[in-house]
Amino acid sequence: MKVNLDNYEAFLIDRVEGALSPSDEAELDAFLMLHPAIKEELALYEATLLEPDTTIVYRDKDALKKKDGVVIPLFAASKWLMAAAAVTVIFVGVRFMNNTAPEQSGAAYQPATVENTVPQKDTEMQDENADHSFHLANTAPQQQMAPVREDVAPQAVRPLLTAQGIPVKDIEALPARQLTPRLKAMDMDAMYAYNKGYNYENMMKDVYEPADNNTIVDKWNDALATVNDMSSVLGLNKKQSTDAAASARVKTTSIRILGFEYYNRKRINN
Amino acid sequence: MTTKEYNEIVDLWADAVFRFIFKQLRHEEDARDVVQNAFEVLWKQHADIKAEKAKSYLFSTAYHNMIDFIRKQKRLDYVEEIDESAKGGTSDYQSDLKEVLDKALDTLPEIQKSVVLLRDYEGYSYEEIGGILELSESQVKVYIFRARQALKKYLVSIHHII
Repeated sequence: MKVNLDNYEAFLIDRVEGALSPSDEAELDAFLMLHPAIKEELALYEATLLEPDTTIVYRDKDALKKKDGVVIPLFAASKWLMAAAAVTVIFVGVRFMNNTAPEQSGAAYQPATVENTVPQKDTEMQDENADHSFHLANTAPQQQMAPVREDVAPQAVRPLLTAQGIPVKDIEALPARQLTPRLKAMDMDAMYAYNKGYNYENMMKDVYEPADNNTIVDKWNDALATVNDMSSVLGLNKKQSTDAAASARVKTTSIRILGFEYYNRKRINN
Repeated sequence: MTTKEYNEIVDLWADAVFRFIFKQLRHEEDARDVVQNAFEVLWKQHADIKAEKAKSYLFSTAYHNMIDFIRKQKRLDYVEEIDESAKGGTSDYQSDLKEVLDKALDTLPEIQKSVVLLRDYEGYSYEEIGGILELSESQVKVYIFRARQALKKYLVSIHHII
């Protein structure tokens, strides 16, 4: 392309960007010889190259680092947390009722979620030395699901979802997903909703996309890790701290737990 | 990516990704939140992500977190307010090119700012920037072009004031 007074700016920018071919470079040089005033413009474009400000640094990088194994988080009290904990206890109660009334549900139901630990809560909390962390390898998904009271969970979850900016009406309008028996056993829908937390757009998108089994198993393990986090929130775990990052994580975890519960119930009832 | 590799990514890129976000949000704590969240996402996915892909995954995640954040907080309006005050201050003698460019950067639309920061700060190619910001290579080129034009125009205007 021939450099001219109409298109020279694109050539100047490409030179600054290092995107000119050798022949275009030569052509631009010839053009600048004819129009020396434009060299000033070139200098201005060169001045637009930004240099990183190395005085801007992320403080306390160590807080971002991880250790191998399940990380036990931590707790900082907040109104939000209290509400989340209260609602979760309601869920737990519902699940527990279902577990203890198999003659009503007609199925042996033992989901590997937070409620697995809650029936032991009183005794565990008295034991200062107990290890309350979950062991992921020992918590395989169960094959059977019992019906859960639809009327309780959505009502309880609604204000919390709303508080997180999740449009509850839209979630309720979602049609039921047809699951294969294997995926159903893996509790895939619930895992997706749970894992996506309050990112509603992703939740909408991914709940309806197929996934391979590895992804599902990963999500399952991730879910269990989060449940482990939640156990800390509920005071089931002794390893606590008042770290601000932990508080934020607890908040995120809580909404994930609630999202999980909501979807779990919705799917089962559908 | 192993835990060790993940921790190395923290050491290598936490500053860069923080700088990338901070330059756009202009608020340290907000930028920290966005970066922290991006690392949390990276950690959750670390078993599925190769170490060599981690940097662009991190930048991409942080960028999208930031966009979500801006939408939620309506910080765009806030930034515009900052811009206005910055423009009002141009009668002060601005001899430091870096400072001038910093203010010029704030006048750019978010997407142009992101593109030019990734280009100049991190040296990413157009293709790589496209991958991070979910744009085509030609879109990236157009944004770079517009951003450089706008920055140059700002420099010219400041030059005249001075």
